[in-house]
Amino acid sequence: MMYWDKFLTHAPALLVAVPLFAAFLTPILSKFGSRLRNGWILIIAVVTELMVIALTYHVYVEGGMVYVFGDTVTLPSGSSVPVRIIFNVDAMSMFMVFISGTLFLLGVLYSLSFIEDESGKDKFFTLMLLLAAGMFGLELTGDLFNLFVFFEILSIASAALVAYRIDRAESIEAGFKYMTLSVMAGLFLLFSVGIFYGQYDALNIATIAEKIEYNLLDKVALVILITIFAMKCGSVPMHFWKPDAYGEAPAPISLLLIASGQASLYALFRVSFTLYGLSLDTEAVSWVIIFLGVASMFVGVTMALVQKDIKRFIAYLAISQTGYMLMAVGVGIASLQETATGVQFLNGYGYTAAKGGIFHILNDAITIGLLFLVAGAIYYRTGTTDLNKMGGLAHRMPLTSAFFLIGGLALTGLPPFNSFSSKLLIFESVYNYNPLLTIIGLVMSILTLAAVVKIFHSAFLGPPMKRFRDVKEVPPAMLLAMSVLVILIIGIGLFPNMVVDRFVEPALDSLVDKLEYIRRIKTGGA
Amino acid sequence: MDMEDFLKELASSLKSGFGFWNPLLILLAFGVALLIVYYFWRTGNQSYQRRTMQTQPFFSGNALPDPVKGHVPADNLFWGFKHALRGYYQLAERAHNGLLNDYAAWFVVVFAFILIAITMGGA
Repeated sequence: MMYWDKFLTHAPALLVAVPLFAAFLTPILSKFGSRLRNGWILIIAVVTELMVIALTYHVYVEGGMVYVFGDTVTLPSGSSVPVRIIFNVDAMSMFMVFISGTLFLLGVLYSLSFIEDESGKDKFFTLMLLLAAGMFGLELTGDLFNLFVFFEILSIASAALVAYRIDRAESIEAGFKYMTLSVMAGLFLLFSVGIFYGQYDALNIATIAEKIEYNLLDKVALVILITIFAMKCGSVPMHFWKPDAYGEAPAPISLLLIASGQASLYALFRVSFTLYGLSLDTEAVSWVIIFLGVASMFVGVTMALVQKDIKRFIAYLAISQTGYMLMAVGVGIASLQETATGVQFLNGYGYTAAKGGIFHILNDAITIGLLFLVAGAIYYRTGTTDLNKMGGLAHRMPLTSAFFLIGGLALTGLPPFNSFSSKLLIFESVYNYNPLLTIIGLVMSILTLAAVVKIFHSAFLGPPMKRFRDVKEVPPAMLLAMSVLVILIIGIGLFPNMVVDRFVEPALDSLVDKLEYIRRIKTGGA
Repeated sequence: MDMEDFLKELASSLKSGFGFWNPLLILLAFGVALLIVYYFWRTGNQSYQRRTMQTQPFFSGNALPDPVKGHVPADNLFWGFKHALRGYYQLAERAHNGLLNDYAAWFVVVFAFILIAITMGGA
């Protein structure tokens, strides 16, 4: 029991340290054979996921905690300065870490077969582990400078993985574009961190949140943060990199890119609710975020309808789904209020909208993730992602077809699948804020259904084609990764209340309660 | 939490504040609907025979074309929708030109837009 408590105490640090350490060891282990490397990667992914589950359970049952790296340093002058980095482990951050950890494990499982015949696997897995470390760090950190550091780790690993197929000019171009925009975003992020440090002499989110005045410089920093995180999650009109990157990256990397996009979305929400909270102009900020959301919903789905590459198609659908989350949480920000004692809360419909938005982060990650894995399975067997060249695959790949149908219908929000519940929460509550937003959302959902029908018809329906006569189902590891996502889609769809009550609501409460966040950090998690 | 409470929670409805959603009830209703459909199907014409001309699509008396050639590729799907919105799609495709310079320009445009929206705000 003592070891278990010690483990839980250090689990936040281990969540970043284990994949980081494993990343550096992977190229060395690769020298001793591919079986050893594959086993090592799988063990690390499973161990990481088990740590995530244990820590998530602990945080949801016992409450949030704070992990402190470093100590107080006494200067020659006698004054003492805290030199430390803080991880804030609350329900919201663990909600995100759980999503990232699960997608990481499934991505690794899928990759073991998916890239079996390709070269550079040691680099592939090393970068994958770095990407996971970056994601976990970004979601756990309570420090703005470390947010920048993990943002960079995430971006560099992602860009290299997007360009993994170096024999394809398009992949290198997509990786270059992703890298350039990420560097630009990173520099802007660093600039905003500088603004805070210059004004408040602090990098700690809780300290800045306590002191923030919302003066002109704070507004500029807020604009920078909204812009870069909106770009990184693929919001229109800064989404152009997303079809390039998602389309060219190997399918399991597209899965991880979804998780990294959700991490950026989380950073945007953390900045809005925790760093600024009610100090910001809720009406202006909410409308900015709602506008970005509506534009993403519309442009994403309409552009998807004219795509002929299945991965670019799904990437545009992912952009569209990001719009729902932005719109819902934007409405949540609009309804942000505080009690007489200064505790932030969301009013009735705002709370439901934000709850739907947070719930949709989970649902979107699962459904879009499944669709990318199905696209990868098609590519693995047919060697093409061109929908014009496909047809009749349901005869050869019945399980994969069924997985696509379930993922596609879930994405459109059809009952009884998972996204129906989150979209119901979003649409019913947003209607109270502005009915037009709900109407737009419903129309976009219908267009999403049309888009899913297009892929399903083009790829899976029709008579069996001669050129695909040797096509068969993908290896068991790939099927298993997709099956887990299908089970989650159906499970969450059938029992949404369990997930919302036990998982989503505590996450939203911890995101909105700025005072509690500050108190926890100040008291070291006590 | 004992098993009874757990099962109760499992079967409880998701409340949106304006209504509720219980997928288990819907599945139950779907099951009942399936039973009704099955009943009607059972009362249908029993003389139907599989693998005969009865199962062939009627094509005005002509021979059926090769089904592989009849498969509509992705490009041709929803052409009416694309044609009706061709003005929008011309604009959208011009914006999605793949040029990195333009990607960066959009970042600056959005930054300027949000800056104006937020600095002009009252608070």
